[in-house]
Amino acid sequence: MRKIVIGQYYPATSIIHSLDPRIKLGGTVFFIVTLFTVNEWGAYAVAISALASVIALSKVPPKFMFRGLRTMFFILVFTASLNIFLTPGENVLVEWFIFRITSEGVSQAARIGLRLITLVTASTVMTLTTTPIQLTDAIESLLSPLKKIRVPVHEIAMMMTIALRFIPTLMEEVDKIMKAQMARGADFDTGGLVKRAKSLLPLLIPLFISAFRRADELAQAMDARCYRGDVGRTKMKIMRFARRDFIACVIAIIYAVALTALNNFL
Amino acid sequence: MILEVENLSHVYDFGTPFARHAIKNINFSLKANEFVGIIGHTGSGKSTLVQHLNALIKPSGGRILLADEDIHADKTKLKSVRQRVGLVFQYPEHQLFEVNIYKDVCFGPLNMGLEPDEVALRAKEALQLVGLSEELYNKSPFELSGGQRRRAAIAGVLAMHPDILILDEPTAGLDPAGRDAILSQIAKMQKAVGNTVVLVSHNMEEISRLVDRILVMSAGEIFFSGTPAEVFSDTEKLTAAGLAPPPIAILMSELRACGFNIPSGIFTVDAAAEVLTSLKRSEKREKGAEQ
Ligand SMILES: Nc1ncnc2c1ncn2[C@@H]1O[C@H](COP(=O)(O)OP(=O)(O)OP(=O)(O)O)[C@@H](O)[C@H]1O
Ligand SMILES: [Mg+2]
Repeated sequence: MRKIVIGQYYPATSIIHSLDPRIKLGGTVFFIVTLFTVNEWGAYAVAISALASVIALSKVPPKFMFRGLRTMFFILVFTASLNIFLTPGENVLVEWFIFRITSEGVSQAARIGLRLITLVTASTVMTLTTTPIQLTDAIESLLSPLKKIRVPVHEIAMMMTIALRFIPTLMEEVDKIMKAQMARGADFDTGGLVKRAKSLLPLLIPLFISAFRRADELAQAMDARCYRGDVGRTKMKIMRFARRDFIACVIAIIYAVALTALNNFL
Repeated sequence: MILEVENLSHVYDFGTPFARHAIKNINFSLKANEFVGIIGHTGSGKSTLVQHLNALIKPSGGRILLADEDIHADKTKLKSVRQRVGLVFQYPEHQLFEVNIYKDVCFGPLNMGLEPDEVALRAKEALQLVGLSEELYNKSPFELSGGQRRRAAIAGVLAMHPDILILDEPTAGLDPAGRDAILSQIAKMQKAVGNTVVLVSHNMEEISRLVDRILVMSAGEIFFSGTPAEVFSDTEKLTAAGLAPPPIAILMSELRACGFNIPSGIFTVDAAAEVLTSLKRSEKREKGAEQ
């Protein structure tokens, strides 16, 4: 149960884990954007080896990296086959009925597939090395300019933080209530649609009651600690750029330059 | 031997970085008509263990035999296993969901597919057993006190007439009067019906008065076991298991260390008073003989 819950975060002590979450979030977005400019095989090699080095530095076992790909598998196959069959080209490899496969198509499919895999893996690396709370903090900080035009950035971030914080708690609660009702002979997974929907009531009612109770208690606890929103609020964990964050920025710039060079001048 | 546990172990979140060995090498058996207590420090695996006994959790290793049959052998029989082994969870009052407590108590028996007459009979009997009077039957769980809700939840499991009744800290968070009331009802029922009861508790004193045998858990294993007298007089082992021995047991072992002639296995106030008065009397007699 708990594994779904903590999201994907993989606890470890590595340089990637300790990077400023804003750098990681910004860096991931940057990396994904650069991927879309890449077209040459040499540039792909640079992007993939950059990603591979980050994975190696993160100390997260590689098998966790590819978990995200499993859910993507269908989209991957679908996109690749579209590209194989629909790319026009000269060198026809196979022709059968209305289908024709060209070598341009194969090469295009491989490139798109590679791009998708790299893209998903890059975002997986970020969620594996950054806790959800750090991520919302980073989002709040990166979006804070929007406060000027009255977007309630802090409130949105606070809501996200609370929601993330309570997902594990509610999952645990679901687990517990489900087991308790099963101990009384409840059956959650047989029968027709109506019967199944009905069988969820003994789970949902106690769950909602406890969720409302928790929300109430949390509101009181926040009130008791004088929470009154964004204005004048300080942070316990202040995000500060350290030397490693500047180094990460420099590396990102070098990477971008190398990529552009390979793409355009080779 | 109605229930046997062989080499049971469980790992939560196996194969993830959060994997956790909650229990290991658990071996014990329950006889018919026995009242067994399980004690252990917080996180020692008590709740994990008892959830295995009615097949709510699948063991990572080992097996559980109910009347010589592996409870996971036949998936279609899980429901019957859960009826024969009734489990009352920690804080069961949070599971009430019906509009009134009477209907909630009927949930279990209805799931067993009993006739409406039988269901009504059992529900009333169970509610009576836990000491809830008829005026309360139509009350919503919201209108009841925490203790009353707890009793209603316990009745919900009792109404299924389990052969083995397991209670996971049924008295946690109740006032002493409510605690005694619930426990004495359970003890009375156990004597009357003659079923097997397993009581998980932090409270040594309440366990010592009721049970025939105690299993002491520590760090996921059964650390030692024995009759209450054996377990509570071994203050050293109890402390090693992270538990505070009953105060009277500590007092008695200190007195023994000071040279008083006190038999082992004294851990209730009444027994201690008896021993101490008889000690005093015999001392007086000795003095009288000297003069
Ligand atoms: N659903 C779960 N997922 C992961 N780990 C769990 C889960 N339930 C319990 N654990 C872990 O297993 C260990 C044993 O927990 P358990 O609830 O069995 O202890 P306990 O003896 O009942 O404690 P308490 O006296 O506090 O009720 C604990 O370390 C706990 O963190
Ligand atoms: Mg417990």
